[in-house]
Amino acid sequence: MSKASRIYAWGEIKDHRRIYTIIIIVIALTMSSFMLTHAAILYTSQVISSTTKMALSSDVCILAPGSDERDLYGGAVEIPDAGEIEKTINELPGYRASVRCVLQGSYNVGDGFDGCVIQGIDLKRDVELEKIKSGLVQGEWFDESKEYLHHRTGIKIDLGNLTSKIKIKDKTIGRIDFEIGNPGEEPYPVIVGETATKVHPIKVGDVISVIGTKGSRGAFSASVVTIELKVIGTYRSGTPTLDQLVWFMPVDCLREIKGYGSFTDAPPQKLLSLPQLTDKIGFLLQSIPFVSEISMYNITLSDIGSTLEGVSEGLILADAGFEVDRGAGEIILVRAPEPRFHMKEIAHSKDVVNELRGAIDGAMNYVIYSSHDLIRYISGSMQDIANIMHWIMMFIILALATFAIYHAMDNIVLRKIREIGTLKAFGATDGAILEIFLNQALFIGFLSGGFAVGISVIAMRFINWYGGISIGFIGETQLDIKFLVTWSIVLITFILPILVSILASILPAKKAATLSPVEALKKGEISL
Amino acid sequence: MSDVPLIELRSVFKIYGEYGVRIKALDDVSLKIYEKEFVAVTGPSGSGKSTMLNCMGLLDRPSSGEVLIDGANVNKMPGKKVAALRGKKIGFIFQTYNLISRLTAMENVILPGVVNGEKKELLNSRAIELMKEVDVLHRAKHKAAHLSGGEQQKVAIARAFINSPCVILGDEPTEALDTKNSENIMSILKKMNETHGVATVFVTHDLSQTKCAKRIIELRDGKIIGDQRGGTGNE
Repeated sequence: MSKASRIYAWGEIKDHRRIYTIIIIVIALTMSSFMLTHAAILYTSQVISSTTKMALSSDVCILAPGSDERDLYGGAVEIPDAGEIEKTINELPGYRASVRCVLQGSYNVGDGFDGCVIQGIDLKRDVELEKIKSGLVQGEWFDESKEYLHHRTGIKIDLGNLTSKIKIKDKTIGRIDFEIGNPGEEPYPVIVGETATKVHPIKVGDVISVIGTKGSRGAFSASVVTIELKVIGTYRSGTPTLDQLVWFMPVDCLREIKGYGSFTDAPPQKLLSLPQLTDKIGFLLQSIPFVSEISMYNITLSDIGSTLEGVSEGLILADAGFEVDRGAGEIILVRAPEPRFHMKEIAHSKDVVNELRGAIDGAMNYVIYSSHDLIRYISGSMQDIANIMHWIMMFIILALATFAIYHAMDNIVLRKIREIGTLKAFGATDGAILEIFLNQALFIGFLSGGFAVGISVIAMRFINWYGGISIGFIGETQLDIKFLVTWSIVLITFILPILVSILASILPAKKAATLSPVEALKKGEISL
Repeated sequence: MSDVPLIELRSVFKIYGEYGVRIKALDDVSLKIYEKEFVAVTGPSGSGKSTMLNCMGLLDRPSSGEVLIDGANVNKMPGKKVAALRGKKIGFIFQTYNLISRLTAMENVILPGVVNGEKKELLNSRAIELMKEVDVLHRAKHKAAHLSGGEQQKVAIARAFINSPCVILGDEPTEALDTKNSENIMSILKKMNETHGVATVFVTHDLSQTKCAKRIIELRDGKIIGDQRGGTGNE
């Protein structure tokens, strides 16, 4: 009675169209909201993904042994033989690699400090050079023929090993370097993210004093440097958050600032007595946030003086000739050969990492991240939470819809009990009756799923046609909401309502099917 | 007339029990229905008429005893086979017609055939003939809900014949109708019995309707207390 039960079931739906329409609308809208939200989340992920690749990394990042993801934002340890590794990778067919330096910094914005991560990029070889360049919205790009170097004319005061001499909050500061990077020299050029210029009073042409933390994570040293930076341009990556944080400068400038290289002549060294030292410290303390931290714990200069008791001398370096090590850096970015962006991106990322591990000497010691690992790190948990919440909400609503279908179907069975009895009297088997009600469930499911996909597609097209939804974000920036749909989500949106309606209908359908004919006819008479 | 009865009840008991009270609806009932018979089952209310009809029509299983349809014992048959037998061999006419209100008269008539998987074209032509016989063809395309009581029962009669059954069972088929319509329905049933040669068993407590029966079975307290054959079958 397969065809007959389908026709009969369709008639039933038409007969109870009001209640079924409500159920179908509820399920369709629930699934539609699921599909739209998922498509928006997916789009956001892709934005984060492409931005991450553009602003921070390439297909693969290589870090020094013992590093982790945090080191990508500064604090990374210098990679031994970075230049050699870069060379090895560049010899692999289809691969390109470049070394980057990273400096974590803070700058004064009038009423306090804000942070930034300065990425040193190779102006000729950086694997993401073209992308960063194409994001320039104001000012000018770096003069690629110029080196912008100052031959390390800064002043460095090395207080030597002060283990157990200075304690802050019960923690021992082992070593302190204070350094002025380029006093009186031409400021280093920097291109800042567009968001930073909207959030803070920074504009192209400004000279900003940035205090960088040179100390690597895990190093036994608090090493800070103050540097003067000139904003020569602004860029836009598409993700305002990153544009506030990540700034770019030529990699050799950063190598010089971080001291990656060697002195060409013996730097003038000068031993300072304790009063001279405290005097110098006093000068430097004016410009570094570390001071406010000390003062937070009510430590005064005289306290430092007394703490330094027993330290009789310090070292001052100035006006030294310096040659930058052009292979040095903390991160090696690698552009893998095609295919890069396709459906099997995760698998491809793993293949690339494995290939690099095979090519680099001692690769097992290095930390190698694929872009997929980084994206997961940057946005993974946020996305996971959004996704989990989203699925939970959908399941709650679908559970309610399941109850609604169950009760509607149960009610219909009760009202149709005489018809069921009559059909059984005509020879309809239990299976045929079950089929009728399950066919109704299938119709509901198909219609709900179909409408859900249809509504979503129409909504997405309408929103995109209307120009997309844009919401205010950091500063005056806007965050666009667009959609990206995968077949798996379309399939889930379509199939889930079918499963839900079948699930909800099984019990009432079984109840109807197992009624004995005489019982159904009698109950039907009573309910008349 | 074949020696094998179309329906045979052998020492059938039907006992209902609830809250410790046992009610014998059928008490050792034995009965044979043959081809072309036109049988009226009478008796006071609660005498077991409908219960007996339900057992004969395989709508209900007896508590004990045997039911044979065309010589086949249905007691040990699986439910699916019983359902198929019921659909093919027995036609039902209910007191309240039991038409499906959203379907047209024609759709209602062919429904048992559809349930039994017959071809719709064949069913349609047979339905037209039957509806013509019961004089309701002019209402073929009307929804069942829009038909009068008499018309609905006519449609129900046509529906009972659609699968060419060997027995028609009617449970008080005229109970819900006025006298004129009752007489009309009874004469249609009689005519169909003669034309199609299908045995007809109907339950009634209206003695006037028994006049048209060729055989009258009387029940009381679940027992057959009378089984008269040889009536003229004419009112």
